[in-house]
Amino acid sequence: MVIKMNPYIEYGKKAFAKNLVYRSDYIIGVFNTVIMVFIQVAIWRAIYGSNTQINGVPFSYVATSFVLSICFAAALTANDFVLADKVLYGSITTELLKPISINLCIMADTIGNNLFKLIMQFAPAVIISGLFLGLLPPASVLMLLLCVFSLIFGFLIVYYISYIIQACSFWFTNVWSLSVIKNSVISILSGTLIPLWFLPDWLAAAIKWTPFDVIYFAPIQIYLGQMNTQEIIFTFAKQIVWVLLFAVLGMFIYKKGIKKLCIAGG
Amino acid sequence: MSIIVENLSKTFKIKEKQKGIGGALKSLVAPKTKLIKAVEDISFTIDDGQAVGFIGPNGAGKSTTVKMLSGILYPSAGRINVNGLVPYKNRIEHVKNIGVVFGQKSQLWWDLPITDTFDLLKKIYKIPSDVYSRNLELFNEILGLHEFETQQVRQLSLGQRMRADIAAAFLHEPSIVFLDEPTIGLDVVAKEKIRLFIKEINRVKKTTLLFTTHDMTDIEKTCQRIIVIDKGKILYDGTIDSFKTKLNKDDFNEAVYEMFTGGI
Ligand SMILES: Nc1ncnc2c1ncn2[C@@H]1O[C@H](COP(=O)(O)OP(=O)(O)O)[C@@H](O)[C@H]1O
Ligand SMILES: [Mg+2]
Repeated sequence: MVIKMNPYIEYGKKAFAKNLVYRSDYIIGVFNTVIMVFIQVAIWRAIYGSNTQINGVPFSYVATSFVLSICFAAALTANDFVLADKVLYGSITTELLKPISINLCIMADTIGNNLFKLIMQFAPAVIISGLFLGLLPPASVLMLLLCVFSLIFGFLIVYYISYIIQACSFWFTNVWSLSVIKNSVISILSGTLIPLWFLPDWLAAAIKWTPFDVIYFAPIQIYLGQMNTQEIIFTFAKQIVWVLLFAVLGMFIYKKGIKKLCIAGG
Repeated sequence: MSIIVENLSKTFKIKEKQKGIGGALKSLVAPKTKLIKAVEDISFTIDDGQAVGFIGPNGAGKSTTVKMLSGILYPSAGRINVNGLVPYKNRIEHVKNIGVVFGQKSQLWWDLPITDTFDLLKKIYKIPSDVYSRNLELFNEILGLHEFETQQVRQLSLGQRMRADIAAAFLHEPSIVFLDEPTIGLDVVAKEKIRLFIKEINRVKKTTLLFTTHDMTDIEKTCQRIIVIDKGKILYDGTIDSFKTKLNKDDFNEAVYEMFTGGI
């Protein structure tokens, strides 16, 4: 198994190492994330004013929610251009000539990047903003573990949405605009801009039908101990269904794309 | 039989761009397509261990054929069987057994030093350590890779890059290697090194070779047999000697020139 995974581990390491070259990028990244957290928390502090609770939500929950969700969003991303670059610069045909799965290469690349960001971006950003703004501890060790697991599925949702956009690069040379639209939708609807507690009821109800509330927001609610067993099970079920749905759709588009490429002749 | 090609054809469909804004609008509504017959109904077989020169003028359909044989281009019609596999259907299994060099385009990772590149290939092809180091040593001896092994691929000269590409294509000891213009733009010394290498590997490892080039000396020094192609059709398939006899020339170069300028 390990031997079989070997080339992909190499791909992951390559992606991880590439980040080390652009050191200033990650310092700016940490800075950026911390500023975002501070601004959001400051706005909500002003909204809370002298109230200790709004809609039954204490301010400390809001602060913790922002610290975690913004930091997670910064670390658990998917680069929408991995496949697009391969198609644009023609390295995809090079890789098709090697006995490797291109999909696993993209996954390995993403995981390599994200491990770097978790260590070098998420950790410092959480520590800095937690120190200044206050971070509630997890409700229990079990809830912390469940939060980590559901974050993995949350990441997979983000990953496969990105994968669908990437697979479109066989038809559009530029997936940049698709990427921008996707990122805005995710940041608005996943709770990193406005905690989902405070959305109008109709919108909150609508979001329940989308995958967006179970990307970062649901894991954080698990962390805060805001979900009962039934809700936690429902969250995982919902995550798995969305991951499968997006993965299947992405693979379908990808297969069509490869076929198009190999008929047209790269 | 390592390669069997039967009635293979490839037709490319390209959208024709029309002039001006009106033309652009017209292409949007009713795109005009043009068909290019790159390869038309070709058939041949290549035995295990044979080295075959694949020659023809620019645009003859050589690269198109090589791409179909290596599985990255789907045929429009006909059948291909390489080592018992259909290239484009069993991609991963198929590419384990072949090596490909495109002179026009490196198959290596631009940002990796040569040593890292070979290391990654070792992992991708799961090459046993003893085979790997034995091959590297042999390749170094003939191709002189040591002198640039710590440089990134993008920093290499054309000759160095090609030598690295060729070593990379043979590292996992594939039973078949496709060489599409591996000597393009190289000086005589680099060319000679590559010819020597190809000949030696063909002799020692019995690797089946399909070798495309515009330099007939390349072919004379490495191949037993030639397949001549023009406008997508095979014009000749046989030994170099009978080719020369057929065209009534003592010199191979002249014979090829004669053929392409309408000698027959
Ligand atoms: N991807 C492609 N799309 C459209 N036409 C192509 C494509 N690839 C090759 N052709 C055309 O097919 C013909 C054969 O090309 P090629 O096989 O590259 O020739 P050679 O390698 O013998 O020089 C040429 O007319 C070329 O323009
Ligand atoms: Mg060519």
